[in-house]
Amino acid sequence: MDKPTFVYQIHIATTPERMWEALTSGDFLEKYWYGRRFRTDWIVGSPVQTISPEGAVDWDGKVLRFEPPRFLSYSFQILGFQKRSSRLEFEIEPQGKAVRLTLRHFDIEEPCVKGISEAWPAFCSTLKSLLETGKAMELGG
Amino acid sequence: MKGRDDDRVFAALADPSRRLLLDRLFAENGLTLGNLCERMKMSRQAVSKHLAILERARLVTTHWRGREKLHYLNPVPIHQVQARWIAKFETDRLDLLSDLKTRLERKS
Repeated sequence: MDKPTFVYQIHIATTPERMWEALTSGDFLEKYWYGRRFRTDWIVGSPVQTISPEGAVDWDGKVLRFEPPRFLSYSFQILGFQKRSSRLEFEIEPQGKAVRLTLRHFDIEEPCVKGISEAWPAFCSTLKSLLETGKAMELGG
Repeated sequence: MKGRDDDRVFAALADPSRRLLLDRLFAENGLTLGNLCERMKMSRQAVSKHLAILERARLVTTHWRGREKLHYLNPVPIHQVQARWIAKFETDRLDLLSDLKTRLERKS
């Protein structure tokens, strides 16, 4: 049984459905990942790719689990930078009037640990800001 | 709800033993209670009590691997504190200052 490299958690005052939409629809992801568009049909086994603003496939992975609005998992590899893919899990649990998102990242290559560990807390905060106020947060870094 | 969450974060961080536990998880994520007790000058009960407070403040999250409960540092609440008071354009300069402090204070 493998052990996640990171586990992040955030509570957001929203519904599981809106959280799910933010995690799977192009708009939020494009805003967050610097203009990259996600290309996938979200069918288990299908490719998940991101297309850079210049039109190239720059991340490549596969849909592993797609169980709306509770559990999403896919693998991804940053092409030309990572030698193998890592695995992401997003778990959504209702908690009273809020939703708890648990993000687990498995099997990250050592050189990428630092960058990834900086990206996810910012991702969580801006997701919260977007879902609770409708605005993405201006982030430094 | 929001205010109470913040109170929990600051109260949890106000204790040096709990900050030490976070340091330990920062150095090595995904440790069991047993792992955390090693090299800590605290009883197992004390570590377990502090972990519960950190978990309630959501500074620590857990993951079950079979029967093993693994503890992870969850920096998300700290990131939100940062995002609240540090403007986008200040981040680079603050990083520079932190680096300078680390370099100057390093024991040679």
